[in-house]
Amino acid sequence: MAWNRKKKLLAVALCALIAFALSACGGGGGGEGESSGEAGEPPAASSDKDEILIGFAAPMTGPLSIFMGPTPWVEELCLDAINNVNGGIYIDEAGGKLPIRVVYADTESDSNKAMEVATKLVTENKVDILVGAWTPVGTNPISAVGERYEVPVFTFGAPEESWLEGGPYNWATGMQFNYDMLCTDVINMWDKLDTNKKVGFVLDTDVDGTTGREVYTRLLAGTDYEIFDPGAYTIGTTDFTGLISKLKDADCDIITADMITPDFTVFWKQCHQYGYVPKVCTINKGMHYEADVENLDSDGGNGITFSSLWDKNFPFSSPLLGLSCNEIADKWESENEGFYPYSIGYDVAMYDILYDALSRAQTLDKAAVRQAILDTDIDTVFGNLTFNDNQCARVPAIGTQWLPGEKFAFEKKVVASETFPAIPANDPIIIPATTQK
Amino acid sequence: MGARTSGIRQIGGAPGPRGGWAARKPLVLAAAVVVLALLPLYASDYGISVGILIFLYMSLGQMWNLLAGYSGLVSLGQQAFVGIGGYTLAMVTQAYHMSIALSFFIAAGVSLAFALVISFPIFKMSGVYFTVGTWIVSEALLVFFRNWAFVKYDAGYNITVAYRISMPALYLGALAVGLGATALVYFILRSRMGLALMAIRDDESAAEARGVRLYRTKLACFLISSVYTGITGVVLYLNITYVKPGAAFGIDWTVCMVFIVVIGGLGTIEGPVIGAVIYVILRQYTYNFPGISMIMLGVAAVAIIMLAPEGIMGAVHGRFGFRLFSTERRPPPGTGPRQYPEDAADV
Repeated sequence: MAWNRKKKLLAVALCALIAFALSACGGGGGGEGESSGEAGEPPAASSDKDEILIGFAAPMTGPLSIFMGPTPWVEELCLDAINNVNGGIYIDEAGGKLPIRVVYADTESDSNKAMEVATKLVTENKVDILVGAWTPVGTNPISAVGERYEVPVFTFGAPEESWLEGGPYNWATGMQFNYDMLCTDVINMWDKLDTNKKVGFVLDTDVDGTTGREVYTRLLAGTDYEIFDPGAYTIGTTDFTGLISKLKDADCDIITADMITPDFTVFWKQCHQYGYVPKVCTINKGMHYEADVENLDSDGGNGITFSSLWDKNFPFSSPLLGLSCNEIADKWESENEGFYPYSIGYDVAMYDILYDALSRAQTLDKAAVRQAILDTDIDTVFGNLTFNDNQCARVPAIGTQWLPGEKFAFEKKVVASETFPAIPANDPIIIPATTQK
Repeated sequence: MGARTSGIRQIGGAPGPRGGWAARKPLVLAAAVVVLALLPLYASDYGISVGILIFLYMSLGQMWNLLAGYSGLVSLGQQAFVGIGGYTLAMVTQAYHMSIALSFFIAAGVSLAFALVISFPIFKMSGVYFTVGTWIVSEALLVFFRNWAFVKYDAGYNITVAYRISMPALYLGALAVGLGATALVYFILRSRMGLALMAIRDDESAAEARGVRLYRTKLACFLISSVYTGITGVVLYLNITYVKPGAAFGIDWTVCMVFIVVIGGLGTIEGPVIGAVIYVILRQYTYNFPGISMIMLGVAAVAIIMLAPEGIMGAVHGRFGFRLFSTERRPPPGTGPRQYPEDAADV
């Protein structure tokens, strides 16, 4: 008797546990203490329409967290401009202006987690706009969540070509750079230097490496440049000596790498140990931040070239902040320690676009918000941005070089901007005396 | 492990003191399945999405438990089969534009073939060597996929056909996989094979002396677990929609399987059910604390393990002495083997 009763109780308890868990998850709206643009503020249900909720699935931990350097500084700056200076955004349903609140979720730099947290933002927090950022690991699964739940999605910081692999999109939009232009910038920089035009690939097996290999090969075909490809390496490699030996034997004056910071730090150190320092080292992805360049041994980062995705020398302004690119960078440097991170440009442009789109839409109806984003035609910190038929707004990239500076150990100089002539390239590219094979 | 029970021998449905419950159990379970199957009618989108995760993780937990909890095969390489499932789905639907249904058959076939191939070297190992061996094999597979042109190296695939699958449909698929895994484990353990597996887990030498064919039994268990994990991988990536080698073949999958089974109760069928519910809910909750969610999850795991070292189901069994899905055997009257004192104590 007792046995039977216990079993029945356990059976009921098991079902109740699952049902309770699922129905408890079905409460919708709000959560417990999400991080928000205004820290510590308790979340309110978005269905009340007393605020506009933006869900930002971002790599706050893991290897991609380097891109989140400007957070929360840039959010505080932009949300202050929207909520306090402008008093919010007029929304018809609310009959007045509503403030914007940002709810963050950590993707942990992992595509599986990105999908899970983005789903939670859409289904539980019921965000009005979902934002995903930095590399296809963040942008692609988050775009897929938007397509599945039919929610407006704004993504940025990935190669246009990689992001479009997940298309055609209906609800997802992207503010992305184009790999062809990025590689063209790089080749424009090489053209200005006296080398033997032998280019060694140091490209990984990841999406950036495979795309880079295809684009460089296509763009360099029929030119004076000679490609040497020692084969792709795997991210996380700690011994590059075999690859360096091949590059040295091939007598490459130029290497082009697409490495994350830890990989490049190891690779570059081993290059010096092996006595192979090419005249030109182009490293995209891993050397965008001054602190990383400074942390390389001695002056190892001197002269490193890369295609920069935003720069304070861009002759544009943020309509939301009313600040030029130069003023935004100066503000960062005066309020924080160190050289400005280029990712500020993407964050500010995102708020420029979303503020403009919501102001035009004047509603939180998802289809209307989506259309308003697609109808964007606005001057931002990247210049004028519009979305093409693939729902992608292409941002500029320019050729830059790290050289010793006056205020910081290294400063970024714009040395090639043929792909976007509106951006002045005021500095000459050089081969530092220390960088000889 | 206190949760372990030594079976004596298979019985042919001898009526016991629990006849009343036994008669009504199918009805109760069927009602529970109906309630869960109808969940999309009354739950929110978020509830459905969490339900999908619970049943998929339940399936992974059951399959890992089948290996570690009942067979003593502690594998740290089961993520290989999740990855095979995910990549099979991507290649079948994205690269060759064939149907999703075909992915299940191909994933099962590839998982079976891969499990068979690796079984030759790793079954020559035992204990901790087996554990390390499975991990090395799966890591090698990860490196292979990252350098395999056929799957676009490390570039990954968006599984765009999955965008249009409705959440209720996906939920029902996950429900079928999760409950199917639970039923499969139950029926295996109620079979002669299950008895052999538990005998091997408790004492390999004694089991072999009693006539259990060690290699064949372990291999069958490994193959079943691997194939089902591969099929679960297909449904997992129908939900995730973006597959990359690092995520698909990552050790994170096996870490979560271990978490689910250890928290729920190793060597119990209910354990992975409870473990999956707790794991998914806990993770959803900790997502509210970006940046420290993994720390919170780890602390919660340590706390639960300290409070219930044998898992929640182990603690419940120890305290109240009952189970919902019992795999214990009782010999029919007059037909049991000769009872030695140590056997009798265990029964």
